[in-house]
Amino acid sequence: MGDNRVFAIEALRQFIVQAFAAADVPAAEGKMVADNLIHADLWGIGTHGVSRFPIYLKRIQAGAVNPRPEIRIDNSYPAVLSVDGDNGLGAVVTVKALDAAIAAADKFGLCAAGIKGSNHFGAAGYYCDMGARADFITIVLTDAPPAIPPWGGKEPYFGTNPIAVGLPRKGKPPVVLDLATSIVARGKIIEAAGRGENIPEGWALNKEGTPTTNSREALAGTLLPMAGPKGYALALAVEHLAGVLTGAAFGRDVAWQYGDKQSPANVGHIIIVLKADAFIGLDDYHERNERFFREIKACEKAAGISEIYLPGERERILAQTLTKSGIEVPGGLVKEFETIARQYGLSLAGA
Amino acid sequence: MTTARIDPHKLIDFATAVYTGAGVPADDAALIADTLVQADLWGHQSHGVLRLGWYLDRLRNGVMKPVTRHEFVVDAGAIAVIDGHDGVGHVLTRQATHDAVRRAKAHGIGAVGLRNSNHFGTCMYYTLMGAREGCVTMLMSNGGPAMAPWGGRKKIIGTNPWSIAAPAGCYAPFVMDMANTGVARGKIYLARQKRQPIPLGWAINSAGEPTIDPQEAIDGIILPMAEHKGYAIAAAIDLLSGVLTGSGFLSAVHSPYKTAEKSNCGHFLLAINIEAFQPLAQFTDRMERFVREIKSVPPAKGFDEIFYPGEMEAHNDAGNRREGLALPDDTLADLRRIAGETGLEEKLPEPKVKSES
Repeated sequence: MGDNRVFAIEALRQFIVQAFAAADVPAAEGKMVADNLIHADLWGIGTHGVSRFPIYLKRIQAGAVNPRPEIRIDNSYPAVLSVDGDNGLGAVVTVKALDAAIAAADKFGLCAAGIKGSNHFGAAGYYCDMGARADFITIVLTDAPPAIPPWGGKEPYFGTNPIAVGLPRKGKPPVVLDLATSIVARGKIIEAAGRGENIPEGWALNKEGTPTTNSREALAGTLLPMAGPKGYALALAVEHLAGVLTGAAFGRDVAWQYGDKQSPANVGHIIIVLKADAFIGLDDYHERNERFFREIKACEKAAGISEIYLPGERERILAQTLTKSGIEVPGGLVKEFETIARQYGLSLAGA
Repeated sequence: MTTARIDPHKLIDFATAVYTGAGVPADDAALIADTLVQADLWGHQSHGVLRLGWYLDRLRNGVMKPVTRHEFVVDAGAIAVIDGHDGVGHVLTRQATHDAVRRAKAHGIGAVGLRNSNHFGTCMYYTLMGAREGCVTMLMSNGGPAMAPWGGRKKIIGTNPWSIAAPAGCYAPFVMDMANTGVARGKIYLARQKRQPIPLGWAINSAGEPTIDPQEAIDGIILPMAEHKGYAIAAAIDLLSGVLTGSGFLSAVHSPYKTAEKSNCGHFLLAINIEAFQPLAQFTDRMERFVREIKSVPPAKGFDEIFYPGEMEAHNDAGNRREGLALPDDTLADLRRIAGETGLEEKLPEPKVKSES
């Protein structure tokens, strides 16, 4: 598989932007995708990090993703945007939709942006972090290729359909929660399969609808929702809001980027941004918010627990370390990077 | 079948009389009564007339004002914040739902925050109101401390229920309604009332050990659904319902069964106008296909049929309206006690065994 290699953040970003540029993606837009992927790695979500870069690039090369989308943003109602991503890269479409949603919410107190014609957009929490840094409470939902069944079913229908929320703080990074409605992210099973490892019981069913611990069987079968029927209800609600309501694909019509490299995925997302100070005033919000977080952190700890974390807090701590040390890329992925570098005549500098 | 059943309409009349007797205006009293009986009709007995006495006690204790007076603190196009001044939660939430829908019709989306409200019953009662008006409607509320943040062992976060409903064309509306605990607190009360043990994994006792005793669970801590994920969602709901609306949050909110304490709870409503996204007819087609596709997924071993959220409730509702409600003995005894106290024995319908034809 080759050796793991550590890359400095800036070197990794440059490499991704240049490779995208060689595939006809404008540099500013390539940077949006690179930033999204790198942040996921910094937050310890390797499943949504630079490991996704090769497939993004392959889909552009195969003509399945549009490198120069003409993203259309319409609104027939003041506080709702209908965004057609024109089959652009998910991060590009989503960042542009988020910017427009924030501008509308600044005027009207809130805005919902329904997005269709998009693609895999990486970690949902990234966009919540962006929105929250601008002092907007940001909710981001997306559908995804079939991975989990309805409760009682044995074939996948819903995506892992994450729910992500960003909560602004004063002078501190936002609190960001980002959770798959599947029991784990599908990427965790892909990782386990890549390492040839088993998965814990309760994560997945095989093709026949029987529980399995074999990661390869699980990939051919179906993930299970988190929290049993509740996770099913949530996955359904997310698929409904991000897919059915936005006009994007839903259910089996959402194409899987690894399996079907030709057809547009037509992934759907929905963004809802709320202007914190439209409800209670920004000072009041921050004062109450900080008291809220303080009280949670001060809760009496269970046995063996040294600290109670806010959602996303551990990810921030990790990011501080990795920003300095760089990101370690697994050997197999380094090889893929090297192939891409050779193809486009790019240099691939380590840390 | 020999189960004795109660006429739901007569039960609503009885509950309405109980609340008008406590000073609640007739229309508002009928609303509280309807939400309680409707929960029973859906099969959610934990939120049904089991709670009739709780609200009565809250009215008697003066922590829930019989005459609801709402005040708009913010009234700005797509958004509003309403101060409920400790009025009836049901009345305030019905009004907020209508208000959010009205804002969504004009702006495409509407958000209404409610502060200083009271427990309102079942979330889905209100989100279904919004769905019937052509809006995907979301409602969430904070509640009295019921669980600990992940890694903690003191109750400071509520079960913080939320619901999302949407119309589904020729099918019963889609509606999810859940608490972020592994199980709704009401289910543990119901288990206590039925004198049944609870499954392992629902709660830990005050010493931090797993328990199957409903009383120990009530005195202990209920665990969040999906571990840290349930904690994260519950915290986000408290932030929107409590922090952002200017209401109480975390330990400042009191549960409805603590009938002598002001609630301080807050709610957050979001109405999304479907027509701002696509024509209603197109949405209906897509929604019907969505439901059909979900229901046509082949069942796993041990399942006969796949249900979508809201389907079972609609099914139960139709059956219970036809057959009447079968209530647990403890709940019936509680209703008789209340009838006696309020002098409404005449109004309380008795369960009857329907003769088979």
